[in-house]
Amino acid sequence: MAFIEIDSLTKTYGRLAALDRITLQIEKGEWVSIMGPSGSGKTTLLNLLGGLDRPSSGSVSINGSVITGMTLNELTQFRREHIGLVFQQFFMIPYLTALENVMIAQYYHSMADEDEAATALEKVGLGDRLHHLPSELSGGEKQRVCIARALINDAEIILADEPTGNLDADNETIVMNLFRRMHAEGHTLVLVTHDSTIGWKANRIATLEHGRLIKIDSGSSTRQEESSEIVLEGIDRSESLSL
Amino acid sequence: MFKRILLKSILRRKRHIGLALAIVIVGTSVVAALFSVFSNVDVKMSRELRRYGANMVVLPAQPPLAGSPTAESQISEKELKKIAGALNRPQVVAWIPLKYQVVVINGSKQAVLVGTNFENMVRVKPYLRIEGRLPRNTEDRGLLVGVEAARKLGLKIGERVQLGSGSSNLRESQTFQITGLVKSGASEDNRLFANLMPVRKLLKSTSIDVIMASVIGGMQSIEQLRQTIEAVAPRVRVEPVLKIAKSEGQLLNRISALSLIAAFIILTITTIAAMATIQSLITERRMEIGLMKVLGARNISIIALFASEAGIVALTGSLIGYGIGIALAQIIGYSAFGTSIDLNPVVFVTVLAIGFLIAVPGVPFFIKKITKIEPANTLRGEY
Ligand SMILES: Nc1ncnc2c1ncn2[C@@H]1O[C@H](COP(=O)(O)OP(=O)(O)OP(=O)(O)O)[C@@H](O)[C@H]1O
Ligand SMILES: [Mg+2]
Repeated sequence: MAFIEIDSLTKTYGRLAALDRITLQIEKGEWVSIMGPSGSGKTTLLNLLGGLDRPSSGSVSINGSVITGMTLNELTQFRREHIGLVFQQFFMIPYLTALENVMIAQYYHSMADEDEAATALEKVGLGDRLHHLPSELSGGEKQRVCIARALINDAEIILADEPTGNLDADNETIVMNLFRRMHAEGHTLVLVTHDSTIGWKANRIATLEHGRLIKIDSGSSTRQEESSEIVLEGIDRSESLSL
Repeated sequence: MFKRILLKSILRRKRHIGLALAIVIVGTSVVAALFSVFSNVDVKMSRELRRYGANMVVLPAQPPLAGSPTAESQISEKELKKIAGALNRPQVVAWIPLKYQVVVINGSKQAVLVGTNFENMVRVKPYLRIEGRLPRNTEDRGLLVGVEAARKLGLKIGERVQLGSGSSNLRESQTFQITGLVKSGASEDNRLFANLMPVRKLLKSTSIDVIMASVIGGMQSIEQLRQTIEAVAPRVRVEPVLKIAKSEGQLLNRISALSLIAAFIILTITTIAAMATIQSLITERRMEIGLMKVLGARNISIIALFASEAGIVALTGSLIGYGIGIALAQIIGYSAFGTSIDLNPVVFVTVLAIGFLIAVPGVPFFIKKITKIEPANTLRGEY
């Protein structure tokens, strides 16, 4: 059984099927990009993986736990323990500093630790912005705070919805390097994007259209743990490229 | 961390908190002022109304018909002492004993002499207008003469007069000096007034005829006094001066009803304003609440945070509101009644309760709102 098992996942809004019987397995430590045109159901899928929403039918199980069968409180707890979320908008509590915005995630997880939070912000290059309010930070800086916050509790799974969608090229590079580092450190990464150069950096790229999973491609990144697979994937890719 | 979030949320959101505080302050200060005034209004208004004279009389069991007084038609000295004890209460503004007797003046003309207590008489009958001065102490043989009596008898301030008791022995007379004239437009104009003590000596009798009292608190309080007095002195009758006591009661009831309506309207308005503010604050903070949920906050901890914030606003607001309210009450008190308004602990507790009611309007409503926020929709930007 894969680390994340998505089985026939469906979400309907009235007559519209935002997600239509999606089945997908994601391995531990894998980086998967979700791509597709606007309205194809990318955010809907990510929200279901993060336990922010419930499906109409089908199931998601993570590391053996069927999260789609959990109560709201159980979901909240599961999210707290296992999942870090990054959004396209840089959601922060407006009256808390960068440092406090990271600490609040620690607080809801277990216990706030100022030093640890400061270290996390230093790692994303914000060592000199600890005491700035969100209104005093640039978009790129805010997104880095959000990434530090998603990582602070050592979540195994990072779910990111267009994390670079509101950033310029320089900040995009900085943020993508952070994701690359997360992947290298062994986090499982699911990243929604409609930028193919960003999607390409993953191990696999799942493409949605009208709520359906229409294809799965291999990306440029290689899986750390399974070197044999890297070779295979490399061959696969060169084949598909030559076609 | 909870305290830190709470503190920052209050300190860094000065405008929002200020608005919420202002609403609580307006609501509580108005309520504090109104309640303070109205919890005093009965006392203050009836004191005001007491200007119209005595509203309670204590009579002997059988008032004298024509002819000489009997023990039955008098209040004895012993009874007077007991009644005086019963009348020693805060709702009794003042009371006076009255002893009536027809006397002979300078051996010729007759008039009614009234023995009483001057200091209290002017409080029981504040409408008396006095020219000259009152006799000094309770033993002074000073005489206050009604203007009509003075005219008929040809008496003037400063004059000495011989008063003889109406009994056959005319030699039993004593000298009194006129200290002043009194005018009321009523029966007092035809009377002579002297201290009870010298009148008792003159008449060789310690009993009195009637007691008049000025009582606040309306018919209810008169009824209470009646029971206490009739318990200690079973031979006397206590009666309200109906015309005065009843209309007083009606006026007070009308004022209380009006004040209640006013307080109710103001409370309703402030509560609606507060509800609207809280509602808009929660709508405004949906993103924040959604984000907290995404980060793993339980509903209960978000509710605790918002409730603490509301609680702090409520407490601070009501304390300030109470302060402003009682200051307002004093201004109202001085302009309407010419006296200060007493502080009432019940008002303080009420105001505090109302402050919380305003700041945390319907806790269930508030909790439901927070619980209902779904992070998926909120963070998608659906407002
Ligand atoms: N709460 C909702 N109620 C009704 N329809 C919804 C709701 N949320 C999403 N949808 C619809 O579901 C479909 C998928 O939406 P979703 O947000 O997943 O798209 P997306 O792939 O993330 O698009 P984008 O790239 O623009 O972010 C859309 O047609 C959207 O209008
Ligand atoms: Mg989307």
